[in-house]
Amino acid sequence: METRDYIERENRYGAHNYHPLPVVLERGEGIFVWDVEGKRYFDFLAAYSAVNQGHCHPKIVKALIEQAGKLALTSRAFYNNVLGEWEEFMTQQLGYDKILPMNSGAEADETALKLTRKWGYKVKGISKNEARIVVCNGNFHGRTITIVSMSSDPESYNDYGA
Amino acid sequence: MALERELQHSNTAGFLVEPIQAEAGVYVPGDGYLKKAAELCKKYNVLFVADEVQTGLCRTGKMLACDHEGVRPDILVLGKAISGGMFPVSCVLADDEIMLTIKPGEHGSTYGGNPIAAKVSIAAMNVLIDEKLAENATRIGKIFRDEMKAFKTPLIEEVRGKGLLNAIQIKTFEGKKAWDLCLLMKENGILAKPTHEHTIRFTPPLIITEAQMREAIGLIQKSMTEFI
Repeated sequence: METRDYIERENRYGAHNYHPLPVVLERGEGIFVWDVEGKRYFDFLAAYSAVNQGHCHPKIVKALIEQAGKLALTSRAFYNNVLGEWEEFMTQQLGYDKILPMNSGAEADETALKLTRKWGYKVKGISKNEARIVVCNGNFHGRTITIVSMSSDPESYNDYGA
Repeated sequence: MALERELQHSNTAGFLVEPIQAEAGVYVPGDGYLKKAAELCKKYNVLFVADEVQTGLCRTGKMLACDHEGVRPDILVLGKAISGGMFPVSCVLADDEIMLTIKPGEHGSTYGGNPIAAKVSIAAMNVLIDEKLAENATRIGKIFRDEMKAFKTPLIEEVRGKGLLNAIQIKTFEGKKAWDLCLLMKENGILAKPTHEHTIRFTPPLIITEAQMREAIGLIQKSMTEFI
């Protein structure tokens, strides 16, 4: 298969909610990625800053492989022996009492919005269902329906309202 | 100011802000804006909530972009580089007065805080710290902005950013826009993505060396020369 074939397959079977550059990547190392034809590129997007440490950093790959072969998912119905280690590490590094884990950035923003309102009602004493959260013009916090309702970009919110 | 009026409102619980608006096109607020906004939040008993999903974790040259102004958010949102691109992980940090308002059963996620996420995230955070990626972002980011500002081309409207979170605003040339320049850069071995019509973000991994950045700058400038 060539670049064109991979793109056609995605267009055929995948939703059209993105408009990618026409390059099909198959390998990454450090600041570089390689496409299916073997051409090397400098990655100047770094997955929107998710790949600050570089692609496939050996220490991060090692952590993934070791834990994936041992215990991957317990849900929060039970404790596991590494969540607390991360919680202690993160709160100490960043200087907070507590941490709440989620998966995507939008989910974490939703969590922050819920916490803000909960605090508004329980601690600040705002009347029921009256809490306000102030956001900025031009904001981008993700794609969930609450978050796009705060957006000033019509591409984000058009036809998602009711 | 408009923000103060909104914060004064007795029903305002929080102010949610990206310390630098990345997706909007890398808009850096004026010096002192975040500090002043945080002071006003304190004054009116409003939570200062920072979305540092993109700006945090060394991208702008500090662990958090808020650190540039000595601001400590009441609620801090992190994601993306918290797992170094290996696994979806995000989180919210806050002190007990805020975090403990949510009781058991009131919020959560099946995959949130799973063992792989925890181990991957510790490894990813240690890489940021051990490899001093904040310092590198400051140093290499300045080289990028200095070189692009010094580059003589009618194409560039503005170069802006902090650390290695940078963007170049370009002028439309003969109907061709940022997207077309990204296609040309791709041919020359640089992958970057436009945000809106006239802005291109330049945000490589923070491990980039000076020699690599200078090589990349050469390819970006070559593309701009070929474009016009």
